[in-house]
Amino acid sequence: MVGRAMRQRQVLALLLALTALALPVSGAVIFGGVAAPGSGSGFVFLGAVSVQDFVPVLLLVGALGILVTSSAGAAGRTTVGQVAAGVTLLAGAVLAVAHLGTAYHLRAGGAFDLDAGGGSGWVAQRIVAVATMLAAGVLCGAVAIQAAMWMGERKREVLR
Amino acid sequence: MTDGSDEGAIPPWQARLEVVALLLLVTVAVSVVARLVGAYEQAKDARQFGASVDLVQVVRFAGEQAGFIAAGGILVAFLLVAQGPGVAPTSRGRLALRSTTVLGLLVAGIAAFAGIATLVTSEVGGQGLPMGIAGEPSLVDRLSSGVPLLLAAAIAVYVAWCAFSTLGEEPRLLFPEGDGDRDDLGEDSEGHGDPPPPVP
Repeated sequence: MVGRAMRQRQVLALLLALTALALPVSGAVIFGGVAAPGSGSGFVFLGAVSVQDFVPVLLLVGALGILVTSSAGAAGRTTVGQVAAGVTLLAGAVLAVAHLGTAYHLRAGGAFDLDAGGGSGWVAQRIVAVATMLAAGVLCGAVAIQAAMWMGERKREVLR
Repeated sequence: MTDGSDEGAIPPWQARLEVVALLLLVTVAVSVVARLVGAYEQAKDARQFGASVDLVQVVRFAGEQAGFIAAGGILVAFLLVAQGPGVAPTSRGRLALRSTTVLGLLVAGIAAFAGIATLVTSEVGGQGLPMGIAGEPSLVDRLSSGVPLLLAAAIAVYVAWCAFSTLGEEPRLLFPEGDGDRDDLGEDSEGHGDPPPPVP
């Protein structure tokens, strides 16, 4: 039996996950449209991670937390929960790829060269920028994996 | 409050959410450091000939950029651990709560410093404008920039306090008589009277 409160929380998780998915996609589309031909995928990755800063990551983690806590101790088929977990998985994968791709391009300079100005501090700036992107990418990947595990567990419970 | 010895009795999703909370805290910490370094580099590039870097402006600019997001991040991390499906956090969750306490106080300090500096300074900075541009913002402008930062600092302090109280680790000197729960937390009792009797 799926309670009303549980369904409401899962719908909320679905909305959070959809927003977390829409923000990087829109950023990638916008930045991909203004990128110069031949500039590679760096601008697409940068656009995906730069829209609304860190907000999509927080939305993603919040969606997973609501999803898991809403179904603690409950059993039964939850279509909304499965959809929310699927969108969380997708958004986590998109954000993870975007952050790790940005880290890769930042590592090599690439489309957005941090040391173009020739300043003496570009090494520190690049190191912390790459570290930020790596940490966020690992976090989003972990969230995607957790969402996939949640989906698998719920399916197994229903089959049982 | 339990220690890590009974993790088998805790639902698996509690431990998984605690891992996500730890990753989130690492991301927030790295992000704050990145904002500080970026603001320092920007201030170094924008300084006049022979002038030193204005560290007040560096912290203010970094606080304006990172204060809100960092406060939100530690709030989400705390909720993941404290409101998870389990009854009590595991040892990993306790580490996350300790990290939340430390990081919350750090973020609160930066955000509060940025808010106060925004309120008292006479220069326009942050919000997409390069630092050092001369300008005289009105009182309303200063309040609209500084008060949200002070509120973010208040959120961070409160989350840090909540995490600390969830840990149940009161300072020893506040309770010199001791209570029975302290041994359960694994705290030592050095230098405060007789050693506790051995637990059978």
